Amino acid sequence: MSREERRAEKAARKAAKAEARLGEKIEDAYDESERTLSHEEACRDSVYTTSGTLAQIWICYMTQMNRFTKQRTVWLMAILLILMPVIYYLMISRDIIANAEVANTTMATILTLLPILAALMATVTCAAMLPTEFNERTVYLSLPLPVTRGAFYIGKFLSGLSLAAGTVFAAYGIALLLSMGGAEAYTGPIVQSMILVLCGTFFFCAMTYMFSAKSKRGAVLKTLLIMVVGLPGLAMVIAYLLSMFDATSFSHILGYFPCFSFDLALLYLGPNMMGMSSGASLYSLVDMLSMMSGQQLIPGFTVGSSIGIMCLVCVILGILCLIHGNRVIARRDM
Amino acid sequence: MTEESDAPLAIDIKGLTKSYGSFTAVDNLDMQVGKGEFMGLLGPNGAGKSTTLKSITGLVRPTSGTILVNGIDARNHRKAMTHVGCVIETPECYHNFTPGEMLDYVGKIHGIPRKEIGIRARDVLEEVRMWEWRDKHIGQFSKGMRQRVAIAAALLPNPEIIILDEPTSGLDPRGMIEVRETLRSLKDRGLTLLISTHILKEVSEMCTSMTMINRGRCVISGDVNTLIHNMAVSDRSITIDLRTIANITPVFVSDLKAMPGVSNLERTGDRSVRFAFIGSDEQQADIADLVAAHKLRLLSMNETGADLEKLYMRLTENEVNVK
Repeated sequence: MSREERRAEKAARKAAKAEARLGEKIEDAYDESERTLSHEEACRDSVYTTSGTLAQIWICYMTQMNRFTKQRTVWLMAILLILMPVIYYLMISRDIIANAEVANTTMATILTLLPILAALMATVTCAAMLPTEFNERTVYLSLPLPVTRGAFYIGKFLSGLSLAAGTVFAAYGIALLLSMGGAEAYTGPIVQSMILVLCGTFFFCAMTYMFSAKSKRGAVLKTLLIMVVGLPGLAMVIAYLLSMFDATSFSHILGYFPCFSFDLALLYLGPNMMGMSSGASLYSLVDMLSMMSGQQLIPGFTVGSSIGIMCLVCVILGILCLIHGNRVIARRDM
Repeated sequence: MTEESDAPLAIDIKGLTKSYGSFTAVDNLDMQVGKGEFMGLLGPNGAGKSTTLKSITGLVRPTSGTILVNGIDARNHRKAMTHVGCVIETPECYHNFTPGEMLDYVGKIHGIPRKEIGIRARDVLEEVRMWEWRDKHIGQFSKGMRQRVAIAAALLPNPEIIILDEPTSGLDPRGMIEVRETLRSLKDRGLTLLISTHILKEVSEMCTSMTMINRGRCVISGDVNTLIHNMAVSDRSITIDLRTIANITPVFVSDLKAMPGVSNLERTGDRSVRFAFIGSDEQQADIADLVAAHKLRLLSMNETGADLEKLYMRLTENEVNVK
């Protein structure tokens, strides 16, 4: 007997055993009911076992991923984010790239728009999911099913997160490929930068998702403004006020706001060749204005320097956002 | 059979109250639906019907009270809804999904094995006459078609209990007839059905029992025909149309006038009479015996004048709690 034949025979024996076990279960259900159940009902009682929590999270995850594949906006954002390093690479001068001492510097340059686009991707995937369910009334079909609201909530979140994180990683991958042609790359900082970007994406998605759980209409613009302008602005305003009272040591703590995670990730890659010290964000704008004016606009304030602490802050705050959002959904009357 | 499904009641609601701030949508409602019963939940707009159904299916959290579904507390949502199929508040399916994909999702949540989902999906889509549309996007469907897909999703796990919130709402006459036929076939299979509806004809023709609620409270509950009959008797408003095979004789008419409870007798044709009647069922049966005694051969004896519409108007006007 050949290997394929042995495999086929083994599979057939396994299927026959499963069939026999199933038949026994159905017979048991039938007997327990003293033969009052129909065959269909006996099948239902013995075979239809409502999925466990993990399985339901997976089902909700896969269903939402299926929905994402059919949405043009999501495709558009993903392609834009992935193409962003290519576009930037084509825009900047070849001389600048040739003069880069390490590939990390080129990477940091062509990923300049990463903070904004990553925030946009997180809001596009996570901000609209729940409000869309409520507005389109699909929640009236999903929630009466024997599925916990927690599994529904987490499953959908994981799909938004995996799409956002996957797209950001793809952008990193393309940036690395484009940068490898010339100088040597230091992989250590690249890996650490990617881990930080993952944690930052997790926080962005969790916060966006939390806002969407509280929102009835949709939270895309609101959450984007909060993430890109509101939170960084708040941190810098507090730092400025602290500097007026000579309490700049506390400003270092503000530098660990998770909204600066992408700025730190790019900083860790290497200095930006365009003269800015990090990606396109409110922080880098303030930094650029400081350089142009020749003095620190917000004395003593810099983005946090420790990747480990930043990752920890992102993960902890992200989890807290998820827990709060889950509570909101669990108590919400439909 | 599981321990839970030995419970005598399919749905048992005690003291259900749901308040939204200062507004009380459902106020201390008691309602029981027995196994195999087809109950209609009647009431005007804003009476609390949808809130009651949403409380059963976990879409809203009751302020107080208990709800048992097949003996399981509804707060244990996953277990309670295992053998329940429902269509609440005109739900929508995902517009960019096909009916097949939608049923696949529902089937997986219910734990139906992969192979069986395909078989069950075909069965339920054929039952609601949507099989030929299985690969088209739901976004292209009319409202009635989407409603049918939602009903198919409710039937997919072969549920013991089906809860429908205004199942014929927004459908054209053909759609309404088809949904009612589906409901009748489900009733014949011995399933427990609970539907909320405005359409009195649906309740009087299909339901075995009804509960009427108004302003969040139960106004009346019981067997449909008994409630209508009792109201008519108390109103003294029963009219009987009697038809025979043979021609009605003057002797029969005078004997009939002399029967207890008979008044306002008029001949409506050679073989038919109409009269007002106030009396017991036994006295009605005596009238049938009189027809037989005169060898007229009774064709039909229909009770009219008492109907669900009058009962509904009376009870929602006066808010009489007859329970």
